[in-house]
Amino acid sequence: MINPLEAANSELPKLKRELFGVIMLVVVAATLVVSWKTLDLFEEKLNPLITKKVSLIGEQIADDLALVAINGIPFSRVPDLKKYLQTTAQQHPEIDHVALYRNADDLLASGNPERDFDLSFNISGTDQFRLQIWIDQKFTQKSMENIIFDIGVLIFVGFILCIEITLSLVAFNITNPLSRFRLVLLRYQAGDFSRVLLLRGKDAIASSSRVIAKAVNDRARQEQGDKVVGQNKKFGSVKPLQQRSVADVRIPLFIFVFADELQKSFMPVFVKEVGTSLTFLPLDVLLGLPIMAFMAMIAIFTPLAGRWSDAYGSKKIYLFGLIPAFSGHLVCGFANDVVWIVFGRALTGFGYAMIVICCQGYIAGISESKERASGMAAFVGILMSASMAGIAIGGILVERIGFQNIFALSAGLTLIAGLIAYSFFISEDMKSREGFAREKTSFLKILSNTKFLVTILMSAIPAKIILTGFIYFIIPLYLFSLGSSAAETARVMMIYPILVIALGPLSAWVAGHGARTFKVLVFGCFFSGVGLIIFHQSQTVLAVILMIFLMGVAHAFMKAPQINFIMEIAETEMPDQGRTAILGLLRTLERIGSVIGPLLAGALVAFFGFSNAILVIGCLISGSAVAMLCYFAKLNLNASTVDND
Amino acid sequence: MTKVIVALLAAVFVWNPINAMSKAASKQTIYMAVWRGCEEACKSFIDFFGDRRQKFNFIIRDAGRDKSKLEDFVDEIKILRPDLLVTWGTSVSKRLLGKWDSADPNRHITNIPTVFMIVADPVGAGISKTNRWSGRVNVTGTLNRAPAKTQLQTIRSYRPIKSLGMVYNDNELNARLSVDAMRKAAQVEGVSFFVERLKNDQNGRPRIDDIDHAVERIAAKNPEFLYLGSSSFLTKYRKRVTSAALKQKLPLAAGSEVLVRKATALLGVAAKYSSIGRLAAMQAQDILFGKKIPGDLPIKKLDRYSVLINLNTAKGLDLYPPISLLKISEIIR
Amino acid sequence: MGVLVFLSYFKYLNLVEEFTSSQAAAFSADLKQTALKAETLGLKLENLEQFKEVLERIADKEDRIATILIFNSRGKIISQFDRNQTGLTYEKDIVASSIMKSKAGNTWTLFTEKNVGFGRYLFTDMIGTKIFGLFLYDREAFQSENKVIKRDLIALCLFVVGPSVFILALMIFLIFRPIQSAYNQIREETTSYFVDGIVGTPSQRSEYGESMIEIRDLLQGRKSTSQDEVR
Repeated sequence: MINPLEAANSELPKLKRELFGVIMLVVVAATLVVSWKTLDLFEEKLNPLITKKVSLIGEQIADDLALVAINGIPFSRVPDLKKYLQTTAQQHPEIDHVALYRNADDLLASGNPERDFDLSFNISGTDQFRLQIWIDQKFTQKSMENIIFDIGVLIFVGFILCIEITLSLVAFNITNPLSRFRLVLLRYQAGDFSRVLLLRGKDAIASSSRVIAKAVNDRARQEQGDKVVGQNKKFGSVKPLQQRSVADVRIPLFIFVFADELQKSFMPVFVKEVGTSLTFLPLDVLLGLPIMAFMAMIAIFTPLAGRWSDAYGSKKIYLFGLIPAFSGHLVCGFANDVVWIVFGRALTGFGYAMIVICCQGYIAGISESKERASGMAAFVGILMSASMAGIAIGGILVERIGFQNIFALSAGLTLIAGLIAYSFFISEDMKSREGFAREKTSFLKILSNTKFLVTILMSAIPAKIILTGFIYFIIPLYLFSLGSSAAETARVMMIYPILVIALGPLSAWVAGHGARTFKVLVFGCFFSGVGLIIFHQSQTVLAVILMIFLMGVAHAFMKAPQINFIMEIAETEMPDQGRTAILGLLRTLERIGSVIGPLLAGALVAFFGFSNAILVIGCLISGSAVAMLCYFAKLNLNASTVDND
Repeated sequence: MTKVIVALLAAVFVWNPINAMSKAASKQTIYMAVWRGCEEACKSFIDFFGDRRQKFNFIIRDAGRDKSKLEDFVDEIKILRPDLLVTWGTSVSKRLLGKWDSADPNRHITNIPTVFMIVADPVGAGISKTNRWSGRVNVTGTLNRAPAKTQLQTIRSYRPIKSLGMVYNDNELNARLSVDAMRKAAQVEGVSFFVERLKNDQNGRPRIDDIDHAVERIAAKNPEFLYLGSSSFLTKYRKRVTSAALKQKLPLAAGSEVLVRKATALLGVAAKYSSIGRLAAMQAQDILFGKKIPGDLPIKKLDRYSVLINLNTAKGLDLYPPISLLKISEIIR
Repeated sequence: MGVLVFLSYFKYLNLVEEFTSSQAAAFSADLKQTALKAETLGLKLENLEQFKEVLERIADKEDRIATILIFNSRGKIISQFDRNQTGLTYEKDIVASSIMKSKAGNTWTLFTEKNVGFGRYLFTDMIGTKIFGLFLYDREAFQSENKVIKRDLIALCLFVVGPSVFILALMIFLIFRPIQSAYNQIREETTSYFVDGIVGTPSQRSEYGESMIEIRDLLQGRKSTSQDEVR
């Protein structure tokens, strides 16, 4: 007979895939239907408003034309009649075009017979004039255009949320219990009854686990009298480290980042409205202050947070980080001067640094490397999707509920994220880490490790340079010079995060399934520059899209391996340094790249123009990838010491 | 007893006027010296202050087109020492203020804050140093002539002309200045510009009978539009010059209302006096409430000017205004 | 789904505002023209007759408008229209906050208890003062329309979500069937071999069952009290 336990276990992957597929299908279908119908409804309601306005305009035109006629000016001798009608049509985008008829004759071009506004007027009883206005049918559609985009983003994000939640649920209810159960049974079979497993739930596994646990406990008590040996109320009694999973972190992190990103879209406007006592500062500087404060705090505290996380445990640091984050949001909400906003953002930045880093550390602590690798990719995905969702939704909400309420919402969500983290995070088993984390983490030591340094310089920093320099700096300017509108630019720029998110799971799979980390890393790095090199000449929007696309793909596959690679170096080269601290350092150094990026790009563009600047950046990135390859190849003739399988 | 009564009566008859006067004295005084009565500019000046006009004592002195009265005004002003002096028109302003660089404190007012208005050409009359700065510490004012650039732009909004002609008499400084101004404006706008000078008689004054011929001469050069600058002579003989233009089928634009309204010029770009009055009142406001020094206030001019179109002329020329201009112009029939 | 609908509703409200604001733009063009014409004639803008006429005409065409205010950058009200002659109690505040908002842009929106106001910069008068217009629409007029949309959206949502959930549940059930049977087997074997102590024949048991028996034996026979981890 087949072992049902193993059978269940092996079914899991297929089950996950099917679930994924079904949900995708149903959710997407449902969302599409709702969106379609919604747009229809809106159109229905909004069209009358358009008609109203157009008839107003029509009357105004009629008045003007009446003025002409009253003064006895023959229409044929009015020098700008056509231009006047055209200008009116142009001024009001709802109007397609306008025509004036005298009696039955044409005075101006006529169009299709379906008219939307028809007005006849008489001047001094001689001729009868008719004014016809055609409404642009596509106007409603055009004004819907930006809702469609917003809704599209929302669909995407909602969809991601669904996936996240589902995966979490499956993990909690099926995967984790199953694997824990198996492990516990293995222990028992080996005779080690020092741990018990108590699972909540009504399913077979849970109830079986409880039955068995009870038996073990009874027996233990029998043996030892009242001395309770090995009775461990904590489930997950098998080494906690191994039972960590990404799922624990997913939702709290998502909510937290989401909460923080809400304000991104409207911060400059908020600053303008709140006003300040620091009137001596120019407006541009003032507008940038909150963001700068935020970034500065993150830059400063990320490495420190890494160290603390290693020393005190992820859970503690996460909860600790909530306090400044939460209060930061509240401070912003109640701000009556920019100074307070800056202070609030700084506080939130402080908390943000801690929380993000300790989440990263939590995942890094999953010792099963397959899961860890995919976990890292997922981590990146969560950050990006929460960011996208937050910005999009924040933008829509703020017009309805006002600035202060958004910050209140952020604060509330942060709290919720905290509660969820509290119940789901698995605390460090501090004892096992004694000899580990108490060691002072020395940044210098880390930096002096050449492999680490090379990796940072040749792949992490260039990656950030290309991100901030190319995508955030050059692209908007370049597109603008090519004649694109702001909305269009935003859409093109969106391609990058969408790709990273969409390819996240795929890259996680690749990362977890044996692709050699190092090779993927180098390849990804190289590839991201290739797009730029190939397309730098052609000055079309399409070329830009292609470049971003290639970059997005490359980065999506590169991010997780990058971190894993660093972890591997960390493990083999610097086992005495805190993992999280190393990660913190990585992030901080990356930020250097973020700062250099725009500066470098700006200088290049100023001196060499767009095309050449793009070429140079592309070469830089790809070149550094090649350099890294050479370095490591030389260093270890068999690259297998660095790779992990 | 009688002494007491006399004392009491004296008290009443002396006390009240003094009281009244001191009450009046606690208000600020604005002395307005006008040329031909308190017309629209003067009225709208006062009206600008709305309810706040109660705060002021308005003293209006009308010269009634008599220059000799102006001397008395100077004396009175020196005695009364009003908080603000407003002068209306070139003659009044010239006599009361003198030239900007050679004002005589005995004959002119040099230490009372002053706003001049309805002065056709303050620079030409020597009242002001430039069109923007009066050049003296106690004087500021308003410009009512539309600058050449505005005139040209309005003409071009009637028709996007490429050539402009001007007829002028060279014995008037303001006429010569307006020719120069228009020449410059035309150059900036890329419009070709030609002039025709009226022939003078043996006294150096323009010949009335040359008006028709001058217009003929310039018509021969085929300008798309004819412009009349600031010229008292041509304004006086407006009927002649405008009908000459009409005869030559030349559209005529002028910088004053009267040529359009009371003659047959096609297009006029001018300021309404009531608007100027308000403008002057704004200067007064800055001086009296804002405690500004007049010399520091630039001379104000309007943001926009009134446009007049004579429709009969338009018909005669078969040259009608575009709707955009028609909508915002005053139509004269 | 709920979030989507909720946000879409918000977006709709935004659009309605946008459209109404653009309607106000059309009115403003009218006002501007009237003003320019009056100025050219040398008339004073305050309490201009023509303004009153235009305002009344506007109010005629759009019955959702409760009040229209025209004022200058110094806060002085130049002309106004009050449909209900109630007189706005907080006029000064509205004007003051409008002027503040006008510094941030040419158009703005403000909300009062009973009204939604759309303000815009109209024009600059001849002597350089900025003139603004504020159109206050009656809030209630919008409510009824919005209620309808709200209702429709919710209906749509439920209409789609209902069947979707049903289908989803069905599919999930189907997906989990194989696991379900395995779980049942686990439960069965645990109960019979571990709890009840049945041994049965080898062919009846699965590996799992075997392990159940093994563990039971170990437990009853001997149990390691060591704290050492065996692995």
